[in-house]
Amino acid sequence: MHSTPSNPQVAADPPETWVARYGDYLYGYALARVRNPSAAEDLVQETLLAALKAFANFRGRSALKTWLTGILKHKIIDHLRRKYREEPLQDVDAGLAQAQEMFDKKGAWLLKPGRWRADPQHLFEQKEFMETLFACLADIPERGAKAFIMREIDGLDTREICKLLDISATNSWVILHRARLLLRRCLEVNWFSANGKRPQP
Amino acid sequence: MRHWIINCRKISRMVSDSLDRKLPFHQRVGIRIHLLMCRYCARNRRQQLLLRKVLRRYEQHCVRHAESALLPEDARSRIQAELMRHCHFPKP
Repeated sequence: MHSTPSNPQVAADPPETWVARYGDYLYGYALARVRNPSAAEDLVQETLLAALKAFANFRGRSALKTWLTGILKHKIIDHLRRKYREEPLQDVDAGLAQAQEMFDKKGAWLLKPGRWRADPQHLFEQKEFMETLFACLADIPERGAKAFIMREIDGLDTREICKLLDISATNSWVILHRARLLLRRCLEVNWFSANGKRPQP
Repeated sequence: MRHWIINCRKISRMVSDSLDRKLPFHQRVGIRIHLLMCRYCARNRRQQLLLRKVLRRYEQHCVRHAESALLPEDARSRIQAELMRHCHFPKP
């Protein structure tokens, strides 16, 4: 196994120092997203082991901390997908296999967007809303969900997303469009119009 | 009127694209015109922007949290041991 960087110019921290240097940061980041201490610990371990395997490819183009955080983000997405797959949402969108079905043949809305009463700070502070959001993301096609998370949470641009998911630019816009439509619809059904869950005005 | 200007599916695609890249002038104008006429597309756009705001806050929250939390001691030594078990890196 090639566990050391092949590029001698890279003076990255050696793996035996990673836990000491980045353990707290990675743990805190994971904990904020998954809100479960033991899952967060597992994610740190999975991340560092994956990083160890890929260390030969680390060229020092980004800081090691950024690189490790990037790996962690992928692990978190996988974790959330596994978690929410086990807790299926309401079956309302069962027939909505494709976002295309939201429109008729002429391109008019079939499932018309409803009104949302919401402000971003209020939504963000509601743990249940964020959970509903990630459950919705787990429910939409995988690449779309990943692209959406990379774009909207990690703030990557579509060029970087194309590289990471190995897709063309046009493809990235198509899957982001679908992901956004499906997420909007899922949140409307499972949050904004769901009984008893509607946020207080 | 150009056909695409009255097509909500195409407008929703352009609205999505506009969140990822700068659109050509005629498309930006087309979206504006459509949104004036179509409350559903206007809602869709507002809601997409709202989700973006919520998620940016969320990411900031994660980073702040990361700067304050501490990996528990037992987990720290367990992960360290696991890491050492998986690598046979030469001493520098």
